[in-house]
Order: sequence, then structure tokens, then C-alpha cells
Amino acid sequence: MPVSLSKGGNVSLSKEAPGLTAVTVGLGWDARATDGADFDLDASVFICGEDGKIMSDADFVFYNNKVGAAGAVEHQGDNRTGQGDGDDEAVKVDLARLPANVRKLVFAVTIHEAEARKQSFGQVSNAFIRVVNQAGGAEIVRYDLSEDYGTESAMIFGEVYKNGEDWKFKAVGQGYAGGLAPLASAHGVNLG
Amino acid sequence: MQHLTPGANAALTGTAFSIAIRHGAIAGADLDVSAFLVTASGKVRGDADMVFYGQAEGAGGAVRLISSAGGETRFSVDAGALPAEIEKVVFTATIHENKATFDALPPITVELGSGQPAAVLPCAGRTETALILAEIYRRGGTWKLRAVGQGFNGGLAALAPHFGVVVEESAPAPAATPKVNLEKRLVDLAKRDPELVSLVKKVQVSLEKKGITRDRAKVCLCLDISGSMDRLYRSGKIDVLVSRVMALGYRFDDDGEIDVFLFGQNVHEFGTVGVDGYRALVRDISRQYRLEGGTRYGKAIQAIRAFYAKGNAEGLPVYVMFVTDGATEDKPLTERELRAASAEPIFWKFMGLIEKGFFSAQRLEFLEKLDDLTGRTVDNADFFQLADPAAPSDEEMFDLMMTEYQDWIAAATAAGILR
Repeated sequence: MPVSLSKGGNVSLSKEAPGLTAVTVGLGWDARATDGADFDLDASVFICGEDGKIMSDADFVFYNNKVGAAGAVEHQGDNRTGQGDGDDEAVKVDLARLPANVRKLVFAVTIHEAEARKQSFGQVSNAFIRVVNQAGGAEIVRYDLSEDYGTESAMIFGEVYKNGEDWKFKAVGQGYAGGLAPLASAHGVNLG
Repeated sequence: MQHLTPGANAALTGTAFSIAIRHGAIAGADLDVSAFLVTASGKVRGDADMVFYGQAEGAGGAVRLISSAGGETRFSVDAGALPAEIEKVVFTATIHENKATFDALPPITVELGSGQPAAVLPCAGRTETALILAEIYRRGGTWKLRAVGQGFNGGLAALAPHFGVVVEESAPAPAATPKVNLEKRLVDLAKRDPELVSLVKKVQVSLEKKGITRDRAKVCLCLDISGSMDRLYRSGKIDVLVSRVMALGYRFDDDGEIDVFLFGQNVHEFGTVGVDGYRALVRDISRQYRLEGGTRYGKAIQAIRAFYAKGNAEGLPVYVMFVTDGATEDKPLTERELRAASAEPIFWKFMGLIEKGFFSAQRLEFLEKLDDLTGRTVDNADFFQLADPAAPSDEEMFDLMMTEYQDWIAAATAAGILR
């Protein structure tokens, strides 16, 4: 049975799925049903060290830089394969191949041109993040954010982090006003 | 008070909510606020779950449209009384016939009273003509409010299907289902003219009481404009009468309009009047015509006969409400015309506005004679007398108006005058 988390909750992936080596992190939301500009949502991953910041710009994985941590983190782009049923975007993470200095993967979603389009997460329905065991495809944990956002245009959905030898997942639901830039800065990305 | 911008949500206290939606008004366009009671699928269970001007209650009164006036619409929601399957009550605003966009309005607020959050929806720059304002929804055993602020450019026609409400295309009235069509027309009319809708419903009661099943007829109002009618026109009592004839016309008529004729010394074809014009009819008549010295029923009957000889290709029954306060000067012509008209699909209802007093007996006498006129194919006329056309209640008036009509329908049908 997958674990359903609410904001702030966490679960040990290693305990829920013994022998876990690789996961797919799926992120989803409902397409807009009303008229107006579409919501263009982009997922990104910050591969962070001990201090909660990325170690190099290559550790910022997004639509323009789809691979990080020497191939251990792979952004699947728009999920058009049907894999990971219901996910709009998916990121494959080979936990076993992650460098030892990686302590945390932060999964965020931003609304493209949110300000110009006057959009915010509150107008997006049924956003979620889930972690799926690549071996067997079982969902381990899911976090439904829909009650935890409002006027933000960038959100950290969740993070996968190392606690001792265990990999854990935390439901974050933290919003940032102003989109990707302040979020990226907070994680040590040099936006130059 | 916590103000929620679009997308934000907040917990509500309690389960009984009094909602004030301040939306202002747009010149030249009507704005309607509705509530949709939806399940987890985001859709209504049926059309009864839409609460709007045409249906002020949903879920047995758990959601009520309380009032709509002065740019503000009020609802009450007793969330505790909602069926368990209803997950949300969604409030929407639509601009009737897409005559404007929300851009024309200041921000719309949805307030639930002190101690509760309020939703604030900025409207500047909006292109939509239907807007989802806010929703009250279940969350973990309590209720929350979310400000939404999203909508549709296609107005109610686009919004309603979003919630699973079927909006039927307005089509010409199929003769086979006039009642269904009438319901639709009444819902549409209710917002513009609730008093007329109430009158139309009373007409329906009279029709049922008298066993009148024939649904369509043309309705004609023929008004005496002889000088002696002056006091009645000034009193506003003719306006009351016009409203009642309009209601009959709306219930019966093929086109929702009544044909108006005026007569005194001469006859005038005033034209047609519909739901938009009937309230001003007496005023318009007094602006365009002078009262005349003379009363000639025969000429009026002649003109009306000629009008429907050309203007009733379908052969529908024609109901003429013939209103006069005096005796006619062309009795022989009147009798000839009424006899000739008895072979035509026209029913003549004479209303004598006659107070008991000087010469009242003489004035009544001829109208009574017309009621029982000999030498006709069928009995095509009825007469009733009133001192004050506004005195009877709506129900009494419609009963008077419908007296003998069904008998005529039956006789005219048997005689092959009506198909």
C-alpha cells in the first residue's frame, strides 16, 4: 500500500521498499479546464550536498539540462510514453549510483510565465508528487498538494534525502513567490 | 478578515454560511450569480443541483439563493444539511448573452461574514463572460473556501457543461412539446420579469381548472380609446389589465407577443407588444394617440378580422380581449361582423368596464346581446362586466378571461373552423 503524506510528513523509502535501488519521481497536475492561457508547468531537480545547495550548475536538472549526477538523475521531459500513469513529468533517480556527497534531491515545479499570465498554483488542480519503485513499478509514497498552495508560482513539491543509510521522502509543499529565480537562488544556482 | 486571492484557500468555521457576493453591475448587461452543487467528479448529480434565478433552492434548501439586488447576490449554505456526496458548492457569475466581459467590473468579493475568510477576484483584463468565483468544499471533515477566478469566454453555455449541466440549444418551439418549451422560456423570463412569470403560472392554473389543453393561440388586445376611458387610463388600472393579457399572451401565444388594436371613432392597428414593451403600452398609446369622440365596435371587429384573415396562416385560434366602457354607435355593423366572424377561428371576449349608474343598463344590454347573438355558426363571444378592471384578483380575472373559451374551442373544432 502506498503511503499518503500530508505537508511536512516523511517516510523511509528504504523501509517501505526493501532493496530499493532506483525510483521514478512523478509529478502531476490537471490540465486546465477553463478558458485562458494554458498552465505551462515545468519540473526541476536540485541535487544538493550537505549544505542544502547544489555543488555545481550541473546539479540543477531542468528542461535545458536533463541529466545530472553523472547520469544518476534523468529528467524524462514531458512524459509521453504513458509510463508512470498520470504523471505529467517524471524524473528517474538511480539511488545506488548517486555520488556519496549527494544528501538531498529537491523536486520543484514552476509555472512558466506565471506573472504575465497572472497564474499561480492555486489555480492548478490536483497537483501531486509520487515516488515509484522502478523495480516492479509500485508506488511507494504520494503527496497531494492541492490544499497546500495558493498564490505562489514556484513550489517545492517534495524532497528525497539521505538519513544515515536510508533514503527518505518528505512532503514539502513550500511555495515561492516570483517563480523559478528565487527558488533557484535559494538552492545555490548561479543565475548570472 | 483574511482575503483570499485566486487560488488561495482557507478553513471555514462552522457549517452554516451566509454568503454575500458583491459583483456590481455592468450597464447594458445582466449579471447572474449561480451556485453548482457538485460531487467528487466536479459535476452536478442533475439539473436540480444548479441554484440560480430560475431555481432558488438546491439539495432541499441546503443551498438557497436569498436575493439579488444592487450589485449584490446573497446565498445561504447549510453545509451540514448537504448530502454526503456533494463535495463542493461552486459559485459562478455569468454575463447574460455575453454582452460584456468581466473586465468592466471592479474586483468581485465573496464574503462569508466576520471571522470567515473572503475571496477577492480581480476582474481587470478578464476576457471571460463566465467566471468561477469561489467554492466551498469539504476537506477532512471540515469546510474550506477557495478563491478560484477562472472562467470561460463562452458564458453560461460553456460554463454549465463544465459542471455537467445540460444546456439545451434554444430552438423554435416545436408544437408537440409546448409545455417543455414554455418552461424554458419562463426560466429565461424569470430574471427579467418575475411578476409576469407569476402571472403566467396563474394563467396555467386557470387553464387547467377549465380543462383547456389547446396550448397555442394568438392573443389580441383591443382597447377602447373613446374619451370616456380617460379616467381609466390615468388610474393605472388599464396597466394592470395589460399585464394580465400579456400573461395570457405569453402562455398562449405562438410568438410571445400580443397584437394590439385601438378603437374609438376610428380603428388603429397599434402593432405587437412583447414582454419588453407591455409595461409601457399605456404610456406609448397616450403619447401616440388622442382619445377619440366615438365608439365603434363594428369597425374594430372588421379590422381585426381582416388582420387575422391575412396574418394567421397556421389557422391558430385567436383570442381577442375586447375592452370597452360604452355602447357602440354602429350596432348593426357590429352584429353583422360578429355573425360573419363566427365562421372564423376567432374568439371574442368582451369586457365591459361599466359602473352601475346612469345608462349602465343600456350600455350593458348590447354587450349582453352580443354574448347571445343569434344567427352565428358557433357561439364565438362571451361578455363580462367589471366596474374596475384591477379589482378582481389575478386568479379571478384569469377565470373570467377563460370562461366559455373551451366551449368555443370544442364547438369550432366540431364545426371544422379549427383544425
